[in-house]
Amino acid sequence: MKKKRFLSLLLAGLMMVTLAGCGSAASSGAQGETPAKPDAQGEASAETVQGEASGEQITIEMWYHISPDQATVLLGMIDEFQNEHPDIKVETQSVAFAEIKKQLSIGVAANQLPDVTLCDTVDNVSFAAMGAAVDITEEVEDWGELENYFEAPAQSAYYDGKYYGIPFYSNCLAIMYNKDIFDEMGLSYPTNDWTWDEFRELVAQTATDDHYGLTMSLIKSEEGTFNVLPFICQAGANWDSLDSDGAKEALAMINDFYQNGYMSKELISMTQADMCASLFATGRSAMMVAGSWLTTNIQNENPNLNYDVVLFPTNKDATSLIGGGNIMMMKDDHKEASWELMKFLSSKENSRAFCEDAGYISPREDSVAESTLWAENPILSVYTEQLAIAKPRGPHPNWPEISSAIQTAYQDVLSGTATVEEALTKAAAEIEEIK
Amino acid sequence: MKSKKGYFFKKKMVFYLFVLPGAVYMTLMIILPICSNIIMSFQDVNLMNFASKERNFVGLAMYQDILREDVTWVAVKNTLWFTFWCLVFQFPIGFALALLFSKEFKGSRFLRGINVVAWMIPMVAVAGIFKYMFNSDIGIINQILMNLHIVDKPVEWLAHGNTAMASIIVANVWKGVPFNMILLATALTTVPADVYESASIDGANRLHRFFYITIPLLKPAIVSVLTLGFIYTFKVFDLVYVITGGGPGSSTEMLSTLAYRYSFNEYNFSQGAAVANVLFILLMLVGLVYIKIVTKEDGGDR
Repeated sequence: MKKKRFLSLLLAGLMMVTLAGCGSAASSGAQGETPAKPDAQGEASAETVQGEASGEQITIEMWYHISPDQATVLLGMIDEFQNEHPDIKVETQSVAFAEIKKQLSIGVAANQLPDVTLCDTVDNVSFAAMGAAVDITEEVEDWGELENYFEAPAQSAYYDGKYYGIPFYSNCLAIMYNKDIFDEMGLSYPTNDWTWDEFRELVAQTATDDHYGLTMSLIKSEEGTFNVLPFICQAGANWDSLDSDGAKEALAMINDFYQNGYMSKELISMTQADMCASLFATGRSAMMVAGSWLTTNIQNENPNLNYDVVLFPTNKDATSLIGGGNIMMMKDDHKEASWELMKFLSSKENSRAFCEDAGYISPREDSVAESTLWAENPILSVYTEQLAIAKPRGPHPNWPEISSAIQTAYQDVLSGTATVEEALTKAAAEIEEIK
Repeated sequence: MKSKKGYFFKKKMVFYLFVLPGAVYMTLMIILPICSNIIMSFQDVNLMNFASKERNFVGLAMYQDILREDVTWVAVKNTLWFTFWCLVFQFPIGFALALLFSKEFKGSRFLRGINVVAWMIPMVAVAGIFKYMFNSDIGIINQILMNLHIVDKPVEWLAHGNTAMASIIVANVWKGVPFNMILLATALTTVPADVYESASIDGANRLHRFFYITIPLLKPAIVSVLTLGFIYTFKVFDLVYVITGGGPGSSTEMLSTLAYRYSFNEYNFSQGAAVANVLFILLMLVGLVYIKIVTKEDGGDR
């Protein structure tokens, strides 16, 4: 009997443990919290501020999706911000780049949003249309700094006559090439005024048994769209005219490269970071469609790689599409404090300091004008030039759906499921419906 | 009399207490999400009204929507195709290994243990490794095939629809075999040795013993292994998401990856919910068939 009693007690105890465990699991699930911990550095400095602070202190939360290396400067700025504003405490949380969109959507559903967040430029208007991003038109107009921004990035925060964010960093794609391969083959380097015909020829010439001619991401995700769409734009088309001759010419060219073996077949499932590490950085590809941030990847993978960068080749023009990140306000509970932080991070000096360190280009024309880095650095100066002629991606609140249609189109063509004509006609019809 | 009734009541209470943690857990983590998913599939929750929490009831419109889309049917076909071939390979291989390791030979336990390791590796890691192995430039699978002169130039496994599907089936079979093996091996230990003995005395050969003793006695285990295998395979997500992402095109798009894409890529939450419910309904049908088989057998025993 005694034994039985002990057993039932033990089981009851176990039950409690299980229940407690399940309770906490449920609540953390509902909050949609990221596995990432609040950044140690941010927290430590926040504590010192708390010590000094007198009176009431406001805590605002900020999420970011940039890599830890890139975040160092950002976190330093946030420390500085807290020192200047002892009444505001900023809690930061790192979210994986690929996860932030999902985490923010879950946050919207669960009412667990940060006050301020970084997001991909292309998602800014989606969150605006969703009603999740806070309208900051008045603040932006009072601030009056937006006129110092490049046009394409500024447009990415503009939806339905209102502003829902500030561009924080910009980038775009251009073509990197391996100088050693060109030297070995006795070919002269491409120049900024090269044409599509020259480009085609060089891709074919540099594709040998030792290396591919070109590398670009053709993965079924936004990264692939980001890589494919510039060519479509250069041929005079865009996402809303996919059944035009220009779009067909562009996709047919990419498909030729792919089917002829000038590009690796693996690109169909490779991210930009993957392809850079396994193909270009190791000298297995003569050229690569790449953004400036990949210089860091090359540095890590193969610091001795002898490479340079050149503008996209010209068909109708040599345009690229902008990428980058915006800062959005997701809650208006502490609108003033949040706006202070956004303004602080977007100042001419801070925008420049962050972008210079992280390998991006500042979306602020005045920051770029002041910096010697973007004018003189052989790599970044080309990207600055490319950014000036870049187009915005969209912007459209249903961009993810549009992008999805584009991805299916090029993947169907490359895998041989559909012809260029069929795939683009289908995609154009789908996009027409979304518009 | 009274005390006896009290005793039964108490006993019942204890039973309910035992069930309670499981019931609470199931309600919070499974039943509630499923219910809210079903509700969401009858509403139109999308990008534009997601944050406002205004929900308008649209009846079956979402289901009509997704059934009109070709990609839904492609996903249903792909999911069934994938599940079918996975089961066709993983069950016999798992069964064969279970029979092999049920023989006591030197190292049989050790080898069986090693096999289970495959089952314990997280799916994402398995997917990552297989993605490298199937890489056409540097993957080991092409190297082996070329060294054995089975193919003379690298096969681009993940670049074509059919080979991409074959690749994820191979990866999933590798992961699924140990699961089949362990369950069947455990069931084999419950088959009494004296049944075999008396059968051999009666002149039954190996094949007879296998088909007339092993299979009938293992039938309950076989049914559960096949059903669980079906369910696990049918709801595959991480493996496909990592290796092919549903591509190239839509050639490896599964119901689960499609639901994910609708919800978290395109913000069509209701469409995503509807696709997830199609998956749920199909799995429930399988579950019902399973329950039917199992209860029928129990009834026959009595």
